Amino acid sequence: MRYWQGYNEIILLVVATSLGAGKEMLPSEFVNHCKGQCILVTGDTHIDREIYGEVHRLAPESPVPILQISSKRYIPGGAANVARNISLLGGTALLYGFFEGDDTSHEILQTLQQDGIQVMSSPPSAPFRLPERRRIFAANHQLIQILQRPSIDNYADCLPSLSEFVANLQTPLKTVVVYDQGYGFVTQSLLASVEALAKERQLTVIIDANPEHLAWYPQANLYTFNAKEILTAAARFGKSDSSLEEAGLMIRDQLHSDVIVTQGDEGMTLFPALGPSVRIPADPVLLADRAGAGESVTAVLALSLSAGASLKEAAVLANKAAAIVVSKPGIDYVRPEELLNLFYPQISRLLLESVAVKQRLISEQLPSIENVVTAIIQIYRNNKTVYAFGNGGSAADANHFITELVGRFLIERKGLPAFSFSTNEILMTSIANDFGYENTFTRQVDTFVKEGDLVVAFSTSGKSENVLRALQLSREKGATTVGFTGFSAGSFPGICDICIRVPSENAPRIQESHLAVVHIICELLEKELARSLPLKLKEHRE
Amino acid sequence: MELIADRSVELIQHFSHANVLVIGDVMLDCYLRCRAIGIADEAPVPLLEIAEQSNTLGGAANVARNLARLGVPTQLVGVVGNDIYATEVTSLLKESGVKFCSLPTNRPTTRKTRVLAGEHYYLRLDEEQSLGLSPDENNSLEVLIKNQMQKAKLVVISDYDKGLLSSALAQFIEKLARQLNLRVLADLKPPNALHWKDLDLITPNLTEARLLHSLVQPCNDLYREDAKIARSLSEILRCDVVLKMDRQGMIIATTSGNISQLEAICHSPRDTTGAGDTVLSTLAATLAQGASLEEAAWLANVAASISVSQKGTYAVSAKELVEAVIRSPGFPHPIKLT
Repeated sequence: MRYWQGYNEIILLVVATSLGAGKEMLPSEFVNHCKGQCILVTGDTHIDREIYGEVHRLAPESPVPILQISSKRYIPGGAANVARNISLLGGTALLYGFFEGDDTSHEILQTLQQDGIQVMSSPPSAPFRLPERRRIFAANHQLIQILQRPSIDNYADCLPSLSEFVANLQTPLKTVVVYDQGYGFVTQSLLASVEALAKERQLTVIIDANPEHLAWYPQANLYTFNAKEILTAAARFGKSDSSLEEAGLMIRDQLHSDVIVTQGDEGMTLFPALGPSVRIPADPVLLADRAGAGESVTAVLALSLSAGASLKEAAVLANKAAAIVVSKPGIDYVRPEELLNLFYPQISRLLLESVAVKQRLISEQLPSIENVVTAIIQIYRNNKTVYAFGNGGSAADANHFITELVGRFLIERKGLPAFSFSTNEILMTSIANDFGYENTFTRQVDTFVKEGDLVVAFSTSGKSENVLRALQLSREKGATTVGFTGFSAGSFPGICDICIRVPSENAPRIQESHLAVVHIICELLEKELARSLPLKLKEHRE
Repeated sequence: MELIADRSVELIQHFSHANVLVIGDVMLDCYLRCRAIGIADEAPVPLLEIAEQSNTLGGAANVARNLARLGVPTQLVGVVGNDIYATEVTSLLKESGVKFCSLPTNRPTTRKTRVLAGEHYYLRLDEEQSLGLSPDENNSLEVLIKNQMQKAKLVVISDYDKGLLSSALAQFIEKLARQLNLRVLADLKPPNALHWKDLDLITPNLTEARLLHSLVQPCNDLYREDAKIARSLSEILRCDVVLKMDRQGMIIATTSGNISQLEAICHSPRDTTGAGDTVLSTLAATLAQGASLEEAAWLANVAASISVSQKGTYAVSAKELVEAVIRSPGFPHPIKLT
């Protein structure tokens, strides 16, 4: 029944899962299996409030900084944040907690319900305020944290019982998480009802532990501590100078359960109920801050254990999740695609590279793109023609562009006069054979292009001889010249009236951006022409 | 010497016959008294836990509270936000016995939160939006002021430069006060003093007075004598001036050219926070009954001595003021300066 049975095999990385015994399963597959898992979360919920501002002066009454508050936000923290993490990873979260009271609690309750979390809460008899953790930042530099305890103690007693909450549950429940921050919701009676429920429904129990409550804790499947907490816990048993390893082993034996200790930038250590400890180092990341990492770790552990992962597999995944969350400033979440990115680093790196080039395009090339649109609109208003050309992939881009103009892009309309010089292989090979490859486009420019026309040349290097010659001749014949090229641009800037330089040296990245720009140009000019020219638009028919 | 004490007791007993309208920037002063419990887990910053939270009235609301505590029927006009702090301000004012005519706006209630770790003052958090009001809000404000001013015997302006008292509103208030023949007392942030043309009394502290003087007489020597600054301000702005000088007491300069100094009574103050508001409200309460400025300043000086001997922002009651006056007839009297 316990998921770590057969632990020794797991150590040897022969993975046995509930989804197919003997079949080895990649951690990444768990990301997909996490979806749809149903997890009950209970314990302390608090409000995480982030206060941002600027410090410009000292208080006149005493020399302390005055933080002029510019913005504030608050988010559900603790148990509610674990539930939110579960929900954002595709799981189904049920939250057994306590909210309604003041306006903030009420809003938090609504946020959670909007996230699809089923919440068990009831209006308190006494005025109630959730505990709060305020983080105060001056220009993104954290100054201080202020905790506020809940306005009443032992508030768990005010709720209908846990068994009532889950009685009418449709989804099969697999796991229950208890998030204990010592704010008063987790009591011995709550732990007893969790234990009873787990026994009745054969649930996996995960407890994010508070060292002050060790004496209350029942046997569970997994306990998690952070490094400071495990040392405090060991000290409660009289071992105040133990190492993390000693403390972990001792607490594991006391609790008769698996234990995970999270260690910030050192990753985590597993202390299986049977067998030696296992270190899982952290992925190297650029640390923003650790806010919210604990909750994400708990959520990922719960989901992957529910999905049938082994302790180690779950820990590896949770460790990755932590790496993602700590690289984001403030409290944040991990999304399934972000976890997957970590398992397919090369693919995601290349995609991100492509994204980065497009981002640079936004910061550098917007005016040039607009200028091309304006120039082409002018050409068509004057009843002139657009010609395009290029070699290889650039030839494909040229043809693509022309196709959008002559055919249609998004709107049903008449064709726009446009022609590609890269499209006729018989003509191309014939000219190349008789006049040399450098003249493949000049011959066509000479034949077709007239004064007032517009030519669009594609070359990632800006150095293709046949393209440069054709641009030169077009210019001499009085045509507008537009160039699509890369960062180095070759001879394009001197020869093109408008030059779109994709800020990259990498031909595939440049071409991807060329195509994006082509589509943008087509969309904008089509919209403008449809508005201002009598193009006799027909109703769009599918 | 006994005479001024007797007269003062009589004036204090008649505070309840006065009726003062306070207009200005309403604020809430919040105190978070915390315990330092260590360093946060996730970042190397101090971690505090709130042990006690308290709120007090600040700005114009504290002036109004001081007046009410002196037994003066007091109305307050000001803006608040649409938030829980507005509710807090309103209930604190109600407790203090102030009639609060508030205009709810979309900006947050102006709030200063002081974070204290033990006795150590650690950080101040200011939340405010001091842009001007919308035309609609200004119109509503003018209607409120007009209604309340009919009943008043005197108007007090408490300006903290939070965008409420624009030049246009200043002129509106002055015109209305003149029509109703009411005196206007003002505690102003120096640049905003230029919005006002027809005040009866201003009560700057030394820093504010010097800054104000440099604004109205740019070429003049900043480091001239305090008395000369008071006199010069009184001449240029054509209003009486009570210059508050902390431990040096106060200088009183009148438009008729009289200038005198009052020595401070309390030489080792515990906490001067809010003492300026006590001075302003005592002056207002006294002047509303037609007392002379010298009499009013004498009483304000006694009130200030009580306020500074208490910790925190303290409002002096009429009873305490009477007791102080009776107990100690030997309080300093104004000394004429030439």
